[in-house]
Amino acid sequence: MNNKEAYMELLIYMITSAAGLENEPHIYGPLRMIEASQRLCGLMQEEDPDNEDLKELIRIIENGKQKSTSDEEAFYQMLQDAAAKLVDLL
Amino acid sequence: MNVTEAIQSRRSIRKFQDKPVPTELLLKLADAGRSAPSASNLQAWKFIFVTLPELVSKVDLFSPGLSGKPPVILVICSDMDYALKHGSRNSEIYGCMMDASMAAENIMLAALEEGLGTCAVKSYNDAAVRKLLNLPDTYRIEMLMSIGWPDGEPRESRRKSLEDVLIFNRWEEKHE
Repeated sequence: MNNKEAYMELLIYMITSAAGLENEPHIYGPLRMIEASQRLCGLMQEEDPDNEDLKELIRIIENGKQKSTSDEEAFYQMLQDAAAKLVDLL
Repeated sequence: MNVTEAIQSRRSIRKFQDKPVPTELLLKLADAGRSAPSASNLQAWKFIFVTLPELVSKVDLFSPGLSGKPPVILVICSDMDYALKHGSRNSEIYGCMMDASMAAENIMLAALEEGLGTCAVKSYNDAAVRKLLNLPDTYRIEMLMSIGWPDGEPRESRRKSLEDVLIFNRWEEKHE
């Protein structure tokens, strides 16, 4: 997939998410945002494939995002962990 | 696999193998769906299986709740023109949605028996999916369902305990 297609996919995901969130459970807001963030990480990884911190951030999100409907506490902890991981990427 | 085993082992599958699902299996799933209970025996449901890879990808794109790149997306619709002519106002308010939900459970259990994984999804952009599938205005999309061969084991499902959800006879304050 080229960058244009990948950006378009992300754009569609973000806009359709925003359009749908009005009537969705509150937790879907952070869920959609972290999913979009993970996809953005994937795009960044294409330009920087050896970045271990980026790989770790993607792993943190992947392992925690599906807990939004089964273990909210763990899901919110994952968001904190992901935010903290960003410090290593600066 | 008996019915109880199927009910107990079903999980929402969010990761699929890149492998097509034979049409005869999809016909079996549609048959399970149309065998579900239907309020007033209305059966206003329509089962639209999206199988063309390019179209599946597009519907997937406009459905933030879908995940795992399923090879098939089932769009369960109600023909509201038919429902309002042959049913009642209640068909529109809740009957058709209830019917679609019961059909969906039948389909999910029948899929499980075939080794297929499923996940019911309500997070999709109605206008976009409707446009992609060229649906008549009178069709109401009730839900989407991803269908495919599971990739890996699903997560354990968290369920409320029986005592949290069960009441015999009259409600009493101690239940709160």
